[in-house]
Amino acid sequence: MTLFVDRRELLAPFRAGERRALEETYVFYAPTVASFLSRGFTFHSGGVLRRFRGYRQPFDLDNALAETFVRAFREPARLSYDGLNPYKSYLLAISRNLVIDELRGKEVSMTALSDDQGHGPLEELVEEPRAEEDLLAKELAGLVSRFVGRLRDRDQTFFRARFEESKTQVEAGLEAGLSHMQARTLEKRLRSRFLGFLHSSGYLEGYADPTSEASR
Amino acid sequence: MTHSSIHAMIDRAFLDELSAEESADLRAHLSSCPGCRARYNRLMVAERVLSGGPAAVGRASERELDAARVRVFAAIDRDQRRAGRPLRAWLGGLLVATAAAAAAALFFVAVPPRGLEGEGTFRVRGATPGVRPATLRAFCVDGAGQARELSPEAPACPLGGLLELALANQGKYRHVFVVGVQEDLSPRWYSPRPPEERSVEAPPAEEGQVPFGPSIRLAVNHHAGPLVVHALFSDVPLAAADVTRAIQRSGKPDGAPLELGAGVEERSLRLEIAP
Repeated sequence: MTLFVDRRELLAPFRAGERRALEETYVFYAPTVASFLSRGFTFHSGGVLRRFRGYRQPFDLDNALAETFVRAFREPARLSYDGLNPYKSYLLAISRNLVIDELRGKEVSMTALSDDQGHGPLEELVEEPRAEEDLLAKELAGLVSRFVGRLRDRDQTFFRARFEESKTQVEAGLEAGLSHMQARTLEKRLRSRFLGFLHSSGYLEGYADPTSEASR
Repeated sequence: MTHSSIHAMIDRAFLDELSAEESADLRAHLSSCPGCRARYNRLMVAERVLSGGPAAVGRASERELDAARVRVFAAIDRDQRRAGRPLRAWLGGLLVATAAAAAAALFFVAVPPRGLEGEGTFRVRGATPGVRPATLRAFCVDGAGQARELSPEAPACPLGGLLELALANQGKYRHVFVVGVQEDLSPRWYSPRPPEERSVEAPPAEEGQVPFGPSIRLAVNHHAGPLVVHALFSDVPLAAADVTRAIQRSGKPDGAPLELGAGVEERSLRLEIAP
């Protein structure tokens, strides 16, 4: 679905800057933009095809995601969108330009980018396997499994429904025989216990502090 | 703030217990502290795996998307407060049926012969029929956060304002070079920016009109008076040295072409920076 093509009535309020239209636009496109920013893309700079490998760390990704929409929701950008071409392309162009502007402002980052001669221009990259992330994912999967294994049955049922099956609080609560209020309280408690578990397992200690972004 | 207090804030961020102000304070610290940032990232990745499984380790979680949303609209609210009014379109009658039509009306204007230069403060050069099309638009964001498109009727942007440019590359050029020139004939490099010295990639045609380049702070490296913005579209990248020579040759910035040769399609806007 293309938001402003399939929901034409949203375009005028969007251009007018109405809050509900902007919120709906954000909710619709934020996952796409976040995915684009984390996968990376290729671009030309100084006559050379370069590749931006993507923001993999939450802090940088969140900053770029927020800044993309702040720029896109400013009046000039809203009014520049012609309402005919897919808004996704327009939004991703803003996102890409934001990243390229940032990279061009940092000489060190530019020289650190890989020169990739094998790709065509501007192709979106497919998800690449990353060894570091795989290790981290395995470590976390193991920690989650150990944590869940220590929970009593009702809490396990809620945890699996809420976090592994991505059900809503209400749905997960129903599965565990809890009211919404009880489910909300249990979730807060489980998060707090999981945080304590991460602390006691040493997950938050003894890791390498990167001096530059792992994604560059 | 000590590192241990920051670590405690990071824990509270995981538990979704931070106020908006505390979140802003935390992010301000994290932007300049690699150690704390690494700890924050590690915990947020744990959140990703908690809510999305191991496959989600490189993917923003719902919480991250929601936290970014809060920041986006906090920024919008700040802009509104500065402007002293709710967000709404200022455009009115200028918002015609299609942006393409608006661009055409603005940019495909006959340029008077050189003898009539100086009449009026805003002149736009457009395309010659048969030439591959491209467009350039300019917007001024003043100190109060109010945005408007610059036009022949209203070409002025205050020195304290921001200039924002938008390009459309209907002619599918491969490169573009965007530069500003004032009466001192010293180039203001918009895209590329130093140390880059060659044209940058032009926006894809299928994206239509898109904001281009970073916001231009007129208070930096500009002065009150005429400003001509040139967008030079080409298939072969231009070198900054060639653009500089063309600027010097052209003399007084009055919107006249820079004459960079065949293969370069130029769009220019003559604006006025108000004191």
